[in-house]
Amino acid sequence: MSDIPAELVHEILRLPADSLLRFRAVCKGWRRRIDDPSFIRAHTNNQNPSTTLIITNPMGTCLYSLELDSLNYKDAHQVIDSSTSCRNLAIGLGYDSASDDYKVVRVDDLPMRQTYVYSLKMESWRMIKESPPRDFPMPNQSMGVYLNGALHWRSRDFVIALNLEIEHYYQMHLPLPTGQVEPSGTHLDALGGCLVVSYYYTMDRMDVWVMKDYGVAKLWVKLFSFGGLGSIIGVGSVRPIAYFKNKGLVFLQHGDEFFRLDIEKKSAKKVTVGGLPDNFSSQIFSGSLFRLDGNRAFVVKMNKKRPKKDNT
Amino acid sequence: MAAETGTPTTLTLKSNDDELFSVAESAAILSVTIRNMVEDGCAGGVIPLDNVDGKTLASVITYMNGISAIPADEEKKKSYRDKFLSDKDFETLADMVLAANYLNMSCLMDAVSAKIAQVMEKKSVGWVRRKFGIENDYTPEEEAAVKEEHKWTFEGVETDDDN
Repeated sequence: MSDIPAELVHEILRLPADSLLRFRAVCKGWRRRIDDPSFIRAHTNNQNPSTTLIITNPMGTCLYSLELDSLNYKDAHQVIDSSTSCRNLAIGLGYDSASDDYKVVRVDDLPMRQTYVYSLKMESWRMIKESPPRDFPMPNQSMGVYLNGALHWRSRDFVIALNLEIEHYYQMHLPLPTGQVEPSGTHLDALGGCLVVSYYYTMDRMDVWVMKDYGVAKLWVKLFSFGGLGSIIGVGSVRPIAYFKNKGLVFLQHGDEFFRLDIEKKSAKKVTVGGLPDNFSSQIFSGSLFRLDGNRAFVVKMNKKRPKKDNT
Repeated sequence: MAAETGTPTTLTLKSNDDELFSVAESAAILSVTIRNMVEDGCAGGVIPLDNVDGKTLASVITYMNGISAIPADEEKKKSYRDKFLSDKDFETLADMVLAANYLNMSCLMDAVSAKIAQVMEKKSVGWVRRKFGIENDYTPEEEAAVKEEHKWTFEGVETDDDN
């Protein structure tokens, strides 16, 4: 089959990012096409949302990736490792489309609040001008939630967001919990392209709210409510990590275990993952062609005492 | 447009290798190309489809009949499409994508494109070159360098004679 016209090749190259990166080796024309920014953008928009789980340890020094839709949960793949002993108030990984760069964000609290951004392109950390105000408390070592070019953290009844392009912080209201008592726990997530907040009540019920229209805080609506979670919960909390609306499926993380929940059938299936660190959190990312290539993507180097190589 | 009662209007389609096919107008107008011809009133005799061979056209008509017999139920249509494409090899799929493009049938185009992507996903670079008839214009050094850039994407690829 030799006569598929070029414009149709474009149409049928709806492949996962890893296949496309491999097919850059087919010929120069394909490499040019696959590297083309407009193709990359179109491909990113075409991808099914929520396919890759990014998992990090509490220090934010290791990132692992895991394909959710391949039913092979054997091993997580470590993508970033940085050896840092810093105490981080908040961390996060996100993509800045303006500079076509992945950024790792770290908010330090001692001695004062400062925000550092690691650019995978520049391979370096730098401090940015803004930081979250101190009167917004943030849970220690909380993992930022990436959505719409910004990282989001919860602060009491607010969401604090950092726009990764202009590196500017802003705040949004969370929905008011509707339980008779204060929620015993709260989690912020991005599922299906929306901000999602989960409230937990005495470890037995969770309410999950979704912000339908990003930035319009009034548009928080309740997505689902789960009761009788006692059977799968010990202590700690269950977190929704993926929601497939048309399938009525929710993936939940509970400690170091994952559960696949069928909302209609109200059944849960446990999924075991190997190769993970002892203590971790997780976050969904779509597969994309945005570059994490070469050596630079795999090692986050610290700016402090960076060893010089060619010292004689 | 055919608005008469009784027997449904039938169109005659002609492939580029001069095979003739009868197909119900209601099924054939899944093709925007054919629908436009019908609406322009130039579907009275035989509709020549110069870019589609008989084998492919037969397959497309099977699809037209099958999918138009299913009521508006996207789930059922999808499972019909999946089943319809499940036994097609790459060459047939490639012919069908060209036909779907020429006939302007977006639902078939989408389904075939997705199927091709599924077939290609784990295939080797050599397989793609062979199937698409692409000449490798890299020097061996360039090719090695390009492969080195994303070495991990060559893991788990189906084995192939000239990978």
